[in-house]
Amino acid sequence: MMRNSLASTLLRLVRERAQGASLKTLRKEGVEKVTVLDAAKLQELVEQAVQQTLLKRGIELGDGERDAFLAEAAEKVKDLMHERDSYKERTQSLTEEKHNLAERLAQEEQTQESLKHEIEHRDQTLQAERQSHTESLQKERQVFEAKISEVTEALDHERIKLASQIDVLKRDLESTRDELVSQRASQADRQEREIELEQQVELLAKSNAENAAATAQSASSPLAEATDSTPVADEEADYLSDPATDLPQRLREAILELIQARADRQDTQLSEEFLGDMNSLADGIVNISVGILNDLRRHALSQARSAQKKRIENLERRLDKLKGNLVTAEGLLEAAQSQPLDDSGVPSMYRSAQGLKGDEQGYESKKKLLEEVFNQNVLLRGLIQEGGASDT
Amino acid sequence: MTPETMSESSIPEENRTPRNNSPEPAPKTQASGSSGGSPEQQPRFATTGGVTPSKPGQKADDPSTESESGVLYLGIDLGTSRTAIAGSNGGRSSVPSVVGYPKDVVAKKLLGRDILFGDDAFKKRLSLDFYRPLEHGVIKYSDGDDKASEKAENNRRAAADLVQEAIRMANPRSDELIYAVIGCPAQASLTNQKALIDAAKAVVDSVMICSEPFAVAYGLNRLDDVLVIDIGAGTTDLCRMKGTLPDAEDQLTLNLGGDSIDNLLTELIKKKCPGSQFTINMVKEIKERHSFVNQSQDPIKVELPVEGKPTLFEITDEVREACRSIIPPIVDAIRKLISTFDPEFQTVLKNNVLLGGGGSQIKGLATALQNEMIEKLGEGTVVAVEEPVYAGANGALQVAHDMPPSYWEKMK
Repeated sequence: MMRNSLASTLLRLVRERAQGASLKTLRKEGVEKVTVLDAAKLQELVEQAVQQTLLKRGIELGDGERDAFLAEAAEKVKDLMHERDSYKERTQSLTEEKHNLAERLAQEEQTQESLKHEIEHRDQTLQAERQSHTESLQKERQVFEAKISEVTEALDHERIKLASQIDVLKRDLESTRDELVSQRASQADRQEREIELEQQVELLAKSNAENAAATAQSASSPLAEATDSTPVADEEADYLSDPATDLPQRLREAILELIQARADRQDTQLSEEFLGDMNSLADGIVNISVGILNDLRRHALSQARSAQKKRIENLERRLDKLKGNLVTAEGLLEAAQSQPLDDSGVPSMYRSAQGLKGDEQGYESKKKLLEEVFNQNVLLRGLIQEGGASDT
Repeated sequence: MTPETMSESSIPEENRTPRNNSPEPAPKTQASGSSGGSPEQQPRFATTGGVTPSKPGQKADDPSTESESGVLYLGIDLGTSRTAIAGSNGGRSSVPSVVGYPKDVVAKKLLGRDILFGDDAFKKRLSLDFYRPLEHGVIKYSDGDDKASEKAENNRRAAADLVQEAIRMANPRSDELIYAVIGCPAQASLTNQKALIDAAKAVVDSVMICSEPFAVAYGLNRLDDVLVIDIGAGTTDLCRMKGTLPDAEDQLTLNLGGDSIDNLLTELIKKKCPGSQFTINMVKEIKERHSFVNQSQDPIKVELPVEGKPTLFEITDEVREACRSIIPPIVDAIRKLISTFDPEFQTVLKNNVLLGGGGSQIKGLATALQNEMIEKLGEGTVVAVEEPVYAGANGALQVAHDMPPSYWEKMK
């Protein structure tokens, strides 16, 4: 009874945990031989194992005890099988996990490979781009250097131009200053002269007025009235005070000479009264003439003074402008001079002039040839300076 | 016999050195060959064209005597096609010999410059008064009835501007003395030489003129019994050197070169590619890319428009024929120069032929010339210079360097 129970338990446990596989499947997997163990044999083996174990330990059991022990062993086997099952499940799960990890690893490797390719591709692209950029940068640099060279050259030209402009401006300024100084000096002279003239005119006007009053008292002729009615301004006596010209006196003398000459031609004896009238007439004519002349002179002087004033104003404006230009130009020159001179040229390997060396192979013949070349060039320069008469 | 190539200098093509304003003496040089002295005594910049730096005890580059300013030597080769310049500051440049001035105010504003040179001028030539001031090795219209004309004056001005541009390309420092030698075609007239001197004097302290073939031979240190062939765009100059300056009888100028090849190639392409549209400049580009004279050559295929549609043409034979067209006349000229030379030295001369100029870059030309010489003259050795574009400028630079300082002072 107990034995049957143990056998059935073992069979059930084995069946539950056994994995079924058809012969075809096994063949496909390369399995040609399969070891078969039937349930009875398994039971017998278990019983033998238990019996031997007990005998080794010196335990002799009765039937009842043995059955109980077998039942206990069966339970133990059952537990062990369960434990094994759990281990198997764990193993399976670990295997699955291992497979999953392997798959993930493969995927990661694939990803890594593709990334590596992509990196290489990008690296190549970047290198090509870098090369092209480097080339373009080099070109740009060359262009930039050329521009710098041009700018430097232009700056040099500008500097020279500015310096020459400044020189011209300075010269211009100096000449303008000189001109202005001379103009001012002449203006001052003229003003002094005018003041002197005005003073002399005042004196003469006073003297004329006194004379006119005396004449009016002595003779009340129409000419005297005419003389009185003529306004004699202070300035009218300008010419009278001029010792170089003395125009009024000369005019008066001329009139009187004219009257005397006419009287002489007509053999007429002029009376004192008539001569007094003629003197009055001459004074009147002289006063009127001097008045007209002084008006004209005053007008001309005023115009000249106005023109001179305008010219001085223009000169001063020009001077201010030139001063401004000079300040600007000096600022530009200072700025240009403060900039470092960028000489982008490549220096020569030689610091001084060379010439054929004494230990040169074929020194003598080369020296002679170079002398010939030099002489030909001297001859050529001579011909060029003469105008290239032969031109051959 | 396969012709050798002769190294003018082992300096790389672009050997401009970075700016170095530091007064430190004794920098290293990249110069090789005949440069002397220990690195401590050598100059700070690489030499070009075989200019050798000073040796210890000599006055050059002595730190104790180093001053603020230096002496810059320039060698200039004014060619019909290209103008090349080499300087003792390591600078070396070349520019196509073309000059353009804006046609009007609009063009000037658009271009942003008063004058354009080289490729820039070529690209913008429709907006420019365009000049190629040199023809057959000399300034256009500078001789004959036209020499006083406006076009002659314009070309002289363009040549002068070109010289100034070449000097500017050498990137000189403003505080240095500049001594320049200009390689001038052997047949240049006084007017030509005056124009060049006037142009250079505006920017250099002292200038001298020397014949181009002489400059090439001097630069290569081949001054005795050597025949120099300079194949340029407009002319091919042949000059035999016998240890003295060449006389008129030592020189021959052929009116053939790159331009004549272009013209012939144009005609041949017209025949081979009917209906195709192209310009002489396109032909020049084809020639510069594919020129050759030997038999074995990969097919040359070019794309030319036919009624607006790009069409592929194979022009191998045409290019070969055009390039070979210069060989017979050159060998005839060689024969003339050799046959009038001292008989004792004719063999030496035949075996010392130097091939230079832009035209010498035609593939296989040295070999072809040599074979033609062997066939017609019994023997011959043709050596192509390694840097044909700069051979003249390097030689002129060497002349400038070796010229005694007192001579420069007298030419100021």
